[in-house]
Amino acid sequence: MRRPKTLLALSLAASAFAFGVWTVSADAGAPQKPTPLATAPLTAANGQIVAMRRLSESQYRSAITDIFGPDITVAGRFEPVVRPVGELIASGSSDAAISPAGLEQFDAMARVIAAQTFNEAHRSQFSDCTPADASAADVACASRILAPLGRYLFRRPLTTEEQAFYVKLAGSGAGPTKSFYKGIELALAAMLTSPNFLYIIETAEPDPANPGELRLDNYSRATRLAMTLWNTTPNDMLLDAAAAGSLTDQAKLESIANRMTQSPRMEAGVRAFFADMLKFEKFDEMAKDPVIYPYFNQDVLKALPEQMLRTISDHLLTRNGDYRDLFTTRRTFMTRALGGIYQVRVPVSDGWVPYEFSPADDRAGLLGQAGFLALYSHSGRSSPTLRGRAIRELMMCQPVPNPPGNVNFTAVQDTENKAMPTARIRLSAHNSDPVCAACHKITDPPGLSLEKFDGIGKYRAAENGAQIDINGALGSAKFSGGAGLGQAMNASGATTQCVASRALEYTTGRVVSDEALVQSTEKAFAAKGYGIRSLFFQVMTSPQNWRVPKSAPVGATRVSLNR
Amino acid sequence: MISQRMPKLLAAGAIALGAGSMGAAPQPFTPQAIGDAPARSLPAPPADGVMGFVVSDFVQPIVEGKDACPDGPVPKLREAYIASLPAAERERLTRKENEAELLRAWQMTAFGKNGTNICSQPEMFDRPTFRTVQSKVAWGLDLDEGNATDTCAHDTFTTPNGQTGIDNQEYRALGCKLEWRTKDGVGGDNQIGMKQFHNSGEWTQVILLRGVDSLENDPSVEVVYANTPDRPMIDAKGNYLPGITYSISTKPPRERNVLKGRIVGGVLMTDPGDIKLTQTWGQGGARDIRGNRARWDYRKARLRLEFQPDGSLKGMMAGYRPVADPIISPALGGAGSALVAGIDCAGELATLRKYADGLKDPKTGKCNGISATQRISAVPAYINDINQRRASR
Amino acid sequence: MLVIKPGNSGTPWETDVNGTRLAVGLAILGFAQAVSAQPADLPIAPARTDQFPNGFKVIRAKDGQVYATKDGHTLYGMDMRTLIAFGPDPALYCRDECTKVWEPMLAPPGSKPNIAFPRGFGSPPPPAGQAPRPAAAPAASNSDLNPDGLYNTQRAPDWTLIQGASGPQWVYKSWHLVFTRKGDKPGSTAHDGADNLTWNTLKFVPPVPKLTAPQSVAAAYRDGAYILTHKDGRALFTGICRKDCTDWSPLTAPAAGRGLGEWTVSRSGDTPQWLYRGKPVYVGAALDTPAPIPANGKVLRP
Repeated sequence: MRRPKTLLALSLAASAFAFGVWTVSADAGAPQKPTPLATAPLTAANGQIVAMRRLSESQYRSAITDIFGPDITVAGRFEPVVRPVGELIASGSSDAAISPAGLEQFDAMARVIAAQTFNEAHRSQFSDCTPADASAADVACASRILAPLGRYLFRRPLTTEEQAFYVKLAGSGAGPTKSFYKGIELALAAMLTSPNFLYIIETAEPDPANPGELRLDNYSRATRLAMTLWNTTPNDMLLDAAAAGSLTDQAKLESIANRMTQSPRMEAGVRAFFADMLKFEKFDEMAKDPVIYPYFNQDVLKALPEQMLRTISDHLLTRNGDYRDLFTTRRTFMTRALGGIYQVRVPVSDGWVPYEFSPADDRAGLLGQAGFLALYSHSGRSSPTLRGRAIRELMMCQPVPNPPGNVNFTAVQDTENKAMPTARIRLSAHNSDPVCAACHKITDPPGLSLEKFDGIGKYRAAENGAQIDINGALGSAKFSGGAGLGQAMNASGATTQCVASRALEYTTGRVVSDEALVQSTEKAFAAKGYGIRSLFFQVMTSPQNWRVPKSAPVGATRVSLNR
Repeated sequence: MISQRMPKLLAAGAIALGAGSMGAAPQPFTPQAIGDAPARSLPAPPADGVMGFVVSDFVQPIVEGKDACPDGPVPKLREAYIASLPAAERERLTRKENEAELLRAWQMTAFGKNGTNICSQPEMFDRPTFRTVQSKVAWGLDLDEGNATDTCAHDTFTTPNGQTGIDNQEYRALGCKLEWRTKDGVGGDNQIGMKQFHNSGEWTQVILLRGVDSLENDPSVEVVYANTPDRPMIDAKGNYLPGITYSISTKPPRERNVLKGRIVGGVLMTDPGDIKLTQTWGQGGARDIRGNRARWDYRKARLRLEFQPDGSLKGMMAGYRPVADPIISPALGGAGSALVAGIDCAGELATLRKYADGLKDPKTGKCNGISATQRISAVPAYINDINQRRASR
Repeated sequence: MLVIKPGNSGTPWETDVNGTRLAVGLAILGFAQAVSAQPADLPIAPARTDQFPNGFKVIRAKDGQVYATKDGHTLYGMDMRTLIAFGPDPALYCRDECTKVWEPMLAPPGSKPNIAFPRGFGSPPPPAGQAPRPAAAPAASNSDLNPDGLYNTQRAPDWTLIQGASGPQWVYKSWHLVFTRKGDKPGSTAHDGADNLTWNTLKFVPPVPKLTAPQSVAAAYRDGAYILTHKDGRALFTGICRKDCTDWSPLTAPAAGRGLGEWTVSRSGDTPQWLYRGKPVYVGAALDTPAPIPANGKVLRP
């Protein structure tokens, strides 16, 4: 299903003395106001625009670090991309606009980055020419500086018009400030607030294999490969390959995809993918009652998602593990702060150390980690329902409906009620309402098996002095405790199919409704022992995934920059 | 007169303990907190005999009440100056309109010839000794156990729960200072300030026991009492959380004392030995020279720790401090300590010297140490010792 | 008369520093653990310049390089800060018994003191009825000199002159009054740390080299020489990894970077990487860990 097409209206304070407004519309014929006074071609440098996806915060940060180095700091608040219900943020980015306030933030960040890049300490690193007069414009030198930067930032070479525009902008800045480098700063800041940087603009070309259809062109492929597999901007190898047309050559594409999936940089891509799939943005708003959970603090909060990501990365990449074993592995990593939650000794004061739970701990895989258990709990109590729903929706791609608006939650919330000391008893009372029971039958049986872990994932032997029953079920599988749940998840085909469909969605920025495609991807995943590298290799090299769906082309995009 | 008696230990279990250590903090100090024998039903120690603790309370204990200092607290420099004046002059100078004159007059008492001041060069000033604790009751241990060979004549105290022969001359000398005891007879800034320093992680201390076969009776236990740079983890009420890991390290604060001890009737007592602990100063740390300000140096010191049913420890450390140690911090503060805080470093040093009762120099017969006591509470923790950490790398 | 002024780089300074040439050929791997047994105010910081007074030189002693007299007697610093209880001016401490064992290193004849032990917060209040004496105009925060014309102890050069008990005497790093130990053999450091760390050998640590390098690069003094490190304290190294390369993290360079001095950018790998003198640079573990770099890695030196 197509969503409303992208419409952006961005106000850009391009400099202290030049105020520009540009509008971008992916809708052909959309009103264009105000009338352009000066035009900078936005894109379509390489073909027809078929998709625009906003850079994520981590992609933005990685791009700046890769291009300008780790000592250039990115300071500012990123307007979040809204997650569509049941989908990935990656899908949401395809529809993400930037509000005027959000653009102000991007503008402020751009100015800070540009100022650092061309300050006295750094400018020599980013210029291979010296202006004839440092207090005036120098077209030739500005071109030599800005053209390579534009190639990295826009992830393709600048067009002649673009280059002329930014060089002119640098000159306009150099005049009043009497500084060549201030002018360069201005031009760089403008590039950094350009939709060509802030959006991944995918463009297409005719597909020779399928006459009448389109396929992503080389530079769009370079960007998709880099953003998906390494969560960053394309490097020289990819940009050069795109320039040479290698990324539409299947053999060369496979060679590059193979190199990229085997690279240590794959870790960044895998982390970003699972942070999206497992809704890690929810950690930003996680709060726990400090009286009920004294072990929860900011150090713990920071460590919870990191522990899960380290487990994922270690299992799937370092060990080339089977994805299904992510639900059973007892291997993880520990910090001193987390040692309090798990009540284990940690051999170091700072940093992370490998740790393996004992079978008696009943902590199996991701679902046994405090991050998952705490995230899917309330601020003052555990929740078998939230945990079960997350298992169903995030790990198995099985949507669970929201509760109706008029539900009475009194029974489940009354944790002080001596007559109903455990969550199982309280849920049982709550489920006397058949409307509620229908969904709780799906969510609660797996969630109840984790009830020996409280609302921050700390072990508890009893709840309100009452013994905790940790029998659970997942479909037809019956089991006890976290280890049993992990085994059931491991054996469930839904988890591998789910991650395969999420990989497709993450890569393309849209929900994949083609069941056959999901199944064939999952089959290839299975054939390679459910290794995450092979899954992404499959997704990135399948010609089908580079074809543009017939509904995709979004018409001519017009951009104007008014000064 | 040198005391010649043995301590009388109360029969185990004679006084029931109150609730465990995990209640709301800070708790008012009560005699039961450190002086009683433990309640029964102590848990069995871990199979490997290793037990770790983080110290949650470390402060000079006082016995509250007004009878300890019937003449009131030790006056500050200003009050001491006023008290030294003839009545008429005292009346004149304390009038509001003479405030500036009074200020200059008392501040002048902090300075001597050639730019010396009462805190940087306390030995160069002749000041009267302080009012001292008059009551017979104090916390502490019997450090000399009647051995007169290396001590100087001193009176002893009895603890609130009846142990006699207690050596705590630091308390006698300084226990009437306002920092120790307010004019109302309750704990002063020391009690609050030490807790705050402790909670901030500036001087976290840990205790590691090895070879524990029984919490009731064990003839041989190794005790490591050390500093760690790791911050304590504390709940919203100020309680130290059990089950947190602390690493004894080679980085400052780095003191690590290894002691031998035994458990009798649920009470762990170590043999006399030197105990050094150190404090990492945050604010004001730049003034420290050679770490002296941060030093806690106890000679011939002992730990007396009682196992509690909730797994925690309560007790004391006592030993002889080098006699000038208690004034190191104001001495490094120099004239500011006198002018701002009104501290009479010279009077304090003179008082400490007068009541010094240990570390006798055999040549001069003079005592260079003063008996002193710290109250200790500790909660269970995981402790990485230096050798363990190396082995695990 | 000789007055040493700030910035005076002529006589009596000597520019020939043997020490800077001594610092080679030492162990490459297995950096010594950081000296953590010292209080925060020790060890003495690296020299600010490679110039020092005539009559002194740098020798190699048991635990590293120390300043010494021309005939090889180790220089000791008497840390004045530890002697404040002696009096308000600890520079005058060493007389009588002290001078029987410690020989002050006096300034050349005619020299005038150019630094003094700070009095700090120690003045008595003004007489009643008088306003406090107006404080002298404070020295500018970036000034090396106090209003009295003497050096600010925080910003003084390495070698200054103070009025000692026996006359104007050399001081190192503002606090360490310079002596030798009478009767010691040349090269002996037997009294290092004496009297509760009041007396300490004057260890020579060469000036921190000025680097033309990426911002993430710093220098650290290890085993008698400077090596290049990451500014976060991790080791930098080079070499060729043939297998098990997980510990070989490239020192990432900006893709758009054009290089800096002897540093260039390689774009051939997955990550843009700094090359130093043409060799790829990797980041190891923290310097104070047992194995900061892999066995076949080589440290980098400025």
